[in-house]
Amino acid sequence: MEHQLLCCEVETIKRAYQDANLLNDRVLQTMLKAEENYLPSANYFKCVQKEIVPYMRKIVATWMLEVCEEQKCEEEVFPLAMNYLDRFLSVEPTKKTRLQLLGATCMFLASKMKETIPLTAEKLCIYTDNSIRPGELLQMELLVLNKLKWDLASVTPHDFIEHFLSKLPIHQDTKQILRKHAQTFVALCATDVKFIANPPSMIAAGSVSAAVQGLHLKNVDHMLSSQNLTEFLSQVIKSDPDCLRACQEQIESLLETSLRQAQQHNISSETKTLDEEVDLSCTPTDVRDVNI
Amino acid sequence: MSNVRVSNGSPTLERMDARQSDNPKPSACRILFGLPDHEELKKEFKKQRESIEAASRDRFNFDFVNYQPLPGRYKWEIVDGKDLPEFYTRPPRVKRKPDQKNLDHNGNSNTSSVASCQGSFETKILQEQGPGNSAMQKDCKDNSTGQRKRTASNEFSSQSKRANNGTALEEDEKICCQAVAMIEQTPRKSSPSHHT
Repeated sequence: MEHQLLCCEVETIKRAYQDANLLNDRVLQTMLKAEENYLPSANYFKCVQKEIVPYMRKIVATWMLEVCEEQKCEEEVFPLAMNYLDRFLSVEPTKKTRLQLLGATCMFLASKMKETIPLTAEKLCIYTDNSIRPGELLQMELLVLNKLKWDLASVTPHDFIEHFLSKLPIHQDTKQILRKHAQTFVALCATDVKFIANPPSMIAAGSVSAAVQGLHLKNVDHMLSSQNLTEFLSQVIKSDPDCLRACQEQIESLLETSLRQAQQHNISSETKTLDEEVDLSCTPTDVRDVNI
Repeated sequence: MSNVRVSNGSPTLERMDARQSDNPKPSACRILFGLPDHEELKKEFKKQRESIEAASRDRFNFDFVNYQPLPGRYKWEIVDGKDLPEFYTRPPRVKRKPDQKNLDHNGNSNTSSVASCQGSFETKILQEQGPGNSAMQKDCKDNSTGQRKRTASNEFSSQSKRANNGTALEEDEKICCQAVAMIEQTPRKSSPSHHT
């Protein structure tokens, strides 16, 4: 029974193996320095935008996450696209009716940066219910590139997660789950305006420690107790432990809110119409107990 | 919470399946903030494009729209398209056919054949005029060799002006990326005004 024939003609994603040589302190220090260059300005809603307000960012982010999920994009694509979106909005007053075009363009670019088979312009236009045309997407692409000064190599929280995980005393299997949870938190943070000002290293550290908490790993090793981990990670990212703790708490409360909304949503309708629920489409089940 | 799931790769925690080829879920296809005004958008893009062109014109004292050098810090001179790696002359987005015989191991098509069919195409490269421009020049060299696959032939190294001399200037890398990319994006002589 065990020896059944298996059809292997399924296309799988081709990824490069991770280069362990890059998980060293020199790279980490360079990333910590570099991340400063890719931060959007925290107050662009007040200082730059006239039409666009925070709740609209939430709407477009939710849609973008949904598209990335459905298209099975690499995890990094969504946070990277949000970084492009925020950086663009930090410098360019944009009309409300063009926000979706901007969101699609940012996914287009982020996907090209991170994926072996990137999203096509045509497909992204379909996701806007054909309200934008592929030609417009390409022209927008040029505009976004220009406003971002062609610098798309943003440091993302995902880059840091690997470094942090490599420093923690945990088993390989646990590491995978932890990574998954942390990545989910990163995506959640990217949808929320409150986290715009936080550097990726902070988001990553907060996400990892929230994930460690959520998975009840503190008994695995002394180092993973909440306080020790926060102390340790804040040293790694050269930040204040209180800042990191605050960030972690924000992440946990965001998770709580999102889960509650999802629950309400589930009660109110069993049909899978997508609203707030989308935020959670990738939330691992066992974290829901965290601090709720 | 039954429909809360670990995203696509549930069992392995990693997405291993390739991109879906079927049509997107209708529920995900939606208009968020109303229809954009296509005409207005077109105008806006034209305006933005002109300002981008103006910026690169001023930066490189070169009129990319009419493909004419302008007076300024760079001295422009004509070189024969044949002397350049085919990267600089091949049209964008060529679909390479797998059965094509004249591919080298990088997947680049045979340089000479491409160059000959584009022989009439004049390509100009920038040359350093004063000592003050050395930083940008170095960067362009660096960038021109660093970013993309190109022919492995030695004709590239004969382009001494552009050959990579191993100097990398981190600071100005961005400037250079921008500059090179702008050149690539700017309409070429064959289609000086295809924007509307």
